Amino acid sequence: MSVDKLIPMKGRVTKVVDEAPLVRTYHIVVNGFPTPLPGQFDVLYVKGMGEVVISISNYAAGDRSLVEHTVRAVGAVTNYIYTNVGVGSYLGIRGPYGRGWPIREFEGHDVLVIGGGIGLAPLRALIKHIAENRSLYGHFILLYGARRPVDMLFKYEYEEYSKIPNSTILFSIDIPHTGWKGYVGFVTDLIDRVKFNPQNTVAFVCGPEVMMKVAADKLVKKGVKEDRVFLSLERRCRCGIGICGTCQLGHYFICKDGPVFSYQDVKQYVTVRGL
Amino acid sequence: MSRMLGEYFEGSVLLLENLILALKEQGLRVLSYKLEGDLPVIGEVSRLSDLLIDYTDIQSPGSYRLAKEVKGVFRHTQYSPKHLLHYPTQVIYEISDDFEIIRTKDDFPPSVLFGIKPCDLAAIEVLDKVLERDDVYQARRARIEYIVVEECVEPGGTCFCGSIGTGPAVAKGYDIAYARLGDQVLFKVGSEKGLKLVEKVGLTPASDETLRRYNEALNEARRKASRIPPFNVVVRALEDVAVAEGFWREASARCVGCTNCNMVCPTCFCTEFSDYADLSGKAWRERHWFGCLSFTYGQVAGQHFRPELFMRYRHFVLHKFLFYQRQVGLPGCVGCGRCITWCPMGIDLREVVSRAVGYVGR
Repeated sequence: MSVDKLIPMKGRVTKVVDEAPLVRTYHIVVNGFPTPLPGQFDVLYVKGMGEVVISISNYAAGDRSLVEHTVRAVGAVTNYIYTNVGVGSYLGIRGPYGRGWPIREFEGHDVLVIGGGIGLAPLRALIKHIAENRSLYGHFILLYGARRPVDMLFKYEYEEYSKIPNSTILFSIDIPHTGWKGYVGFVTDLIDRVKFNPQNTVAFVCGPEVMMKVAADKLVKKGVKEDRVFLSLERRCRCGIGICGTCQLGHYFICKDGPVFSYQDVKQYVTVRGL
Repeated sequence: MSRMLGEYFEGSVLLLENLILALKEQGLRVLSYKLEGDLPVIGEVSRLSDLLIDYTDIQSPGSYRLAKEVKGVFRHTQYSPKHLLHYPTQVIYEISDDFEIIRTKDDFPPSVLFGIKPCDLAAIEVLDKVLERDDVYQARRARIEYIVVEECVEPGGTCFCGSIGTGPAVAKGYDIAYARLGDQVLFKVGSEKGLKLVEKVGLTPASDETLRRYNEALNEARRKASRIPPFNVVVRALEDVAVAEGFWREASARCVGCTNCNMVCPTCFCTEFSDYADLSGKAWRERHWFGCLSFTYGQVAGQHFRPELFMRYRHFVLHKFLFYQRQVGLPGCVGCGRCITWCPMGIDLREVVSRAVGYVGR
């Protein structure tokens, strides 16, 4: 008897896309992989090295399911993947896990998406969902910031984003850069530079936790209700199914109760340092 | 006269042997607290003398001794049923060079938990819920055919089940419960299965005198084991001090982050995963107990969500008293006192949570 839920499927890497320094998107084909929802994550496994929890940045359903994961080389497993995994490599994969963005619940609303750095990855499938189901949502705003222009993800898709009808898209960088025509400063500053109706807006935010807290507080101050601001949180995730316990934040298991939470639900915990 | 659930029976302490034999006759493995060499453990027993019936455990903050004593009063060891049901190290799978996954088998024969304590039973109830999605735990749990609980007539040195409400008596979730009153044993039946067993062993209905002695002993034990303010009072106090860093820095000042408390806690369930590979190309993945007091708890590549020890200590305490309640509707602390006894620094959880009551924050 083993924990069957912890046994990965075999995936084959079919394409690798350079996104930014130390960041690549891996296209993985897995026969019969369940179709994920925007905001869910998978656990990738490198034989003999270990597992790593990575959000799903894009997917296509079908018998030979294709899932895309955008990985930054930052720890042991991700560094291994960055250095050694290429087209034709096998990776173990299990998932999809967690509660994604509540896209069905907020049909008919204006959508404000705020991403910081690598945090755009779990938002990418959401942006695609909105673009493909344009009539189901109101005004669409995307605010995305990174440290430098070179750190921005999915640059090859920005033209597509710009064609989304009834939308506003603003970019920011933290560090001044020659030739940059957009805003220089924090991505959360952009909240003051766009017009939205707080009564009818749902916000989906992903980035460093400090940035998400600043964004959430700002949005709430502007009149967006706390239960309409959604954050995708990160903790030390291992199993993905709520049994290993190491991703706990207060009484939540990030993997099973999240990673997407309303600010109302997690405010009591994320505002206490080190809880 | 037909016998009924909820009825009380009595018999000599030697009848416990009959009970063990009756269970073994059904082909069951009987698991209880016992000695392995001179180490008290939880494992298979075959007769009454295997049980720690003539021993007394002397427990105090940072200290555990086992004394041989005829008709001693034995509580528990650093082991708990968690050790059997949610075992410390599990190989999840092996994987070959060409990515062939070999699942590991877990042979856990049909078993009986015998002589476990009310706090242990309360802990199993917590694990049942919190490990609901854990196939290995659930498969082992399903093979526990009987639970026989020994109620505590005398709390140990670090016990506080009376304050939590998890002991010294049991109310549900058991097949048979017994309490030792000198040479006499009072038996309580908690299930139809338990009733059938009691009939086989030949117990007689309890006399009023035995019942009176039992009630007296349990009430006294409950009083003695109420060593912290009532659970609800502690919960409210901890909700208030949750944000008071000063309180937690002070409470954890002597903590060295060894995770002994996590390991001996009968409800701590966290596990960490490790990968191994040998030179033949074979690799395997293990899962083992992991404690929130260890440095890496909350650490991810690139940052640490609980970088300071007081944060991890706070998580331990708040999880036991607040978060389990919100997760599974039960207290996560069952008042067994193991974390106090097995803390090498003798940090007393009872003192910490008692101090939270009435704490004026800084």
